[in-house]
Amino acid sequence: MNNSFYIAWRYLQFHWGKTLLLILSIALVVFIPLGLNYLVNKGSEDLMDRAEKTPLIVGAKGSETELSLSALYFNKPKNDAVEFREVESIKEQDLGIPIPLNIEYQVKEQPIVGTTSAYFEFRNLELKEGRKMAILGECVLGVNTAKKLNAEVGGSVISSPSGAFDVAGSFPLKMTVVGILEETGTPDDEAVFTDIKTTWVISGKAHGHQDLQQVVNDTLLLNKNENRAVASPAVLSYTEITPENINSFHFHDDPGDYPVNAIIVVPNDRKSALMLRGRYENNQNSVQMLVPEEVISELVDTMISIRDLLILAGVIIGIACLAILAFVFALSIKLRKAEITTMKHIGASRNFVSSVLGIEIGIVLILAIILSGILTLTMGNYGIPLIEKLIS
Amino acid sequence: MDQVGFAYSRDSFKLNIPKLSVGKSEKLGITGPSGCGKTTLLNLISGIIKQDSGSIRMGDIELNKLSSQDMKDLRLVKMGLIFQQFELLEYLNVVDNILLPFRINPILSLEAETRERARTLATSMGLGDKLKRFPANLSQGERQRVSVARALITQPELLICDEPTANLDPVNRDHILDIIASYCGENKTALVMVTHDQEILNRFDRVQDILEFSNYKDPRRHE
Repeated sequence: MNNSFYIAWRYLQFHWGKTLLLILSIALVVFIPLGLNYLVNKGSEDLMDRAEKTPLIVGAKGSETELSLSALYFNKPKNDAVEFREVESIKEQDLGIPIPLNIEYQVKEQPIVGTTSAYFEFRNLELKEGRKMAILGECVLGVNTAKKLNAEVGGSVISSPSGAFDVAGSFPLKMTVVGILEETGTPDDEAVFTDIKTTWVISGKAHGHQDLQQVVNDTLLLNKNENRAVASPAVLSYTEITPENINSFHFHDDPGDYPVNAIIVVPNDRKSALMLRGRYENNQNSVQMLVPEEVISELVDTMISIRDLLILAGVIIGIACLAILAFVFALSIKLRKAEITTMKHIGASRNFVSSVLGIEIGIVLILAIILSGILTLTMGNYGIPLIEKLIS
Repeated sequence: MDQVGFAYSRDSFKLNIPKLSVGKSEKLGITGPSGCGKTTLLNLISGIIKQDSGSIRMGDIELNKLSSQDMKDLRLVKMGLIFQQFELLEYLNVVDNILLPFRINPILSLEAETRERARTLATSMGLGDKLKRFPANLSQGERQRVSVARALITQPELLICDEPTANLDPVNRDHILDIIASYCGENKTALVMVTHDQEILNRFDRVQDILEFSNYKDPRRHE
């Protein structure tokens, strides 16, 4: 056996190019259905896991998938926003805890998630360092975001305009980093968490500036009397919230009108969940409540259907490729007829030639299977984030 | 060989050998035109093909009574084969090609002493500095020397050569023949060599014209 292995190994080593090509071909034939199956299963599990841990979502009527992906993966919202009074309304019903999410803005590529501290408790997010945000203008970073933005506790990050043509629509706000979260392996690692009011500051709904009653330069005022001062556009809003100017920040209009992209609702119990769903089903206005598990399940079913078709195609192609490989092996044996005859003439034992050929095929197959396993594991490690990136 | 008869089913060719023997240390040359059965005779002597009638003996062993595997074992242990086309394995280096008989059948075991013998043999044939080379990087003469070393490594009692010098220039031819003659002389090994080369016939103790045993008709004689 050792001698058969030695001769087989020498042959493969000498023809390393042909051997490598065979190993790669077989590895790919095995990997395509195997990797695809692994990827879709793992992706489905991850998708379902986050969806299952999120009981109910409220948002504007429109695409249920878009609303779910926004609330779960912080995708840029494509549905309209609902008003903040929807959060207050749910709170008043006392059937569950509403957690608002404002996901309109970003710091570079990282989504800013305007929410409340209830979100951290709901997702069991632990702090790696620092503390949770306490006042306007503070933020907590997901671990990957901290790395990508090269930010530390005590440093700051600046919000980006919400679009290329939105030069005046949102304020680039400098936010102080007060905490960094532990790694969770979820989209939370990629987010910039801040208080929802801070996102309203970014949107311009709330702002801070000089006390107009104290202004001595009249060019900054359009109108002024004892009760009211009207600022001219020359008054600059603050772009950073500091202990010195925090008291000057104020909201115009009714905060109940302010936007919320999605609301995660954690019902008190099953009965409360059913009551809430019933109320929203009968609701004729522009708000919907959905169960993300059901929405994502439909998405996963679609993925699995596509996977099954692709695997079927992969298996058919694989069978064709293996037939070609069998032909290649047969041709190779034919080309080696002189060598095989020499060994037989010299006195090779009955099974020696077949064992050498068998070991050669075995080594190629084993190395190909190992390679396809490595490719599948690599796909598992790097493919899932890729899928999540594609989804987002 | 005694009263040996052999015929191919595909044509009318026949070999009839009333008696042919070769003793220890004896060098027998076989001559004859192409296609008259020289290689067939070597194949019969080495047991690669079986005769239709008569008997072939090597010492006390009757070859046609051996099983296929026993015949292979006997060939490996007692006989050395050298072919015209060298038949080296392209993916094995010089040492591994020489040691091939020790790897293809468990009846011979590869010991450290055998490896040393292979190196000594190769060095004695002028291949000492080419032990790690592959056949593609050797000259024609060097390749045939490797082929000879592979046949001699098992220290056979009978050396069977099928036109081993046909593809070589006179210098290499004489070198190879000297090596073979020297080995046979030192080890009292019998030699049966097929050749077309009239210039080397004086090196043999006896020369046998195969036409005496064959029904082969030379087409040139008809013209």
